[in-house]
Amino acid sequence: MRGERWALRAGEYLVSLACRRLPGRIRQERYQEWLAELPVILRDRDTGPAPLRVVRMLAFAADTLRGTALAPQAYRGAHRGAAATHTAAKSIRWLGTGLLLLGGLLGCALFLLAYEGCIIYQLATGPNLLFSVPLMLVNLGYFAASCIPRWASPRLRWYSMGKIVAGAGLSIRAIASSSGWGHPLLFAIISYCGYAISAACLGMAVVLAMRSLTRLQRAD
Amino acid sequence: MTAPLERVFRIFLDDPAALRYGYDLMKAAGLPSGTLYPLLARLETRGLVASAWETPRHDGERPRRYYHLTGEGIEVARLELAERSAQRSARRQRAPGRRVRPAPADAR
Repeated sequence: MRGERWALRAGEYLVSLACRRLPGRIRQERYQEWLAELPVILRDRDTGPAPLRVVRMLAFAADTLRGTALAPQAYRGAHRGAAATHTAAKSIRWLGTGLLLLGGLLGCALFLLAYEGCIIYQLATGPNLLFSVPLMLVNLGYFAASCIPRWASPRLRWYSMGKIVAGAGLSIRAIASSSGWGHPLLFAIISYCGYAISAACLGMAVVLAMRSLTRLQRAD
Repeated sequence: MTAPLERVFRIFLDDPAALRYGYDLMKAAGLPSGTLYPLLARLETRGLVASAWETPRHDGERPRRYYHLTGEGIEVARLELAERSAQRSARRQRAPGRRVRPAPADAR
């Protein structure tokens, strides 16, 4: 399975985090036990397609973390009732962490949506240098990063190039309209084209991701 | 007896001689690892479950740990499950109109 090594590494990391909460005498033993289960879950074809198995394996590893956080006394050999008083507080803390993560993800999604909306608004109403220049610079950074072999990604390169063209078009349009130089329509067309390219690249990235998912399922 | 413990006991009692791995138990009982492993650790401390490491069949394969009920474990599990069934039937007789949902292992 493609990416199996990376998935296993992520699982191993989660298991090692879980084992850190355990007393020294049983830590190594539990670590070996849970580590041995990870490849079994990943190769268990009854569970479903490969992406689902990866999720299941990571859920297994993450839940060992929950288990050692909520019930460490169980592994130390104590009776369940002995330290049950702290369990409610720990559950609330875990719930809080989960809600915070969810909030963070939602915040990021909203920020990205607002960012794209802002570009469309600028394209429709009129350019603003304070927006278009940072847009161009940020995407120049992305473009430079996509040229480094370690992070090389043709999708990111095309997407950032599209944004650079859109940002450049918007900037020139802003400068031209404030100084009354050139025809604003020409620069408007340039920025529209840039944004169309980046939108097409984004669509292409989605299609490529879907195709690789289908290929993974077929390989199973 | 908690519902997860009841499920684990039922699975072990399906075939008391069988050796069960943690993941197999998880799948059969429908329990997450964070619930199952602390439960197995408690049972092992009480001497109801014993565990051992398997011998790897291939080079480089990690040995897995398997669990089985001890003699005392089989007795305790049978007693506890019988007690639970008695409690359920008593409850059913007290409220004949209400249906009590069976545990997942009952459905199999």
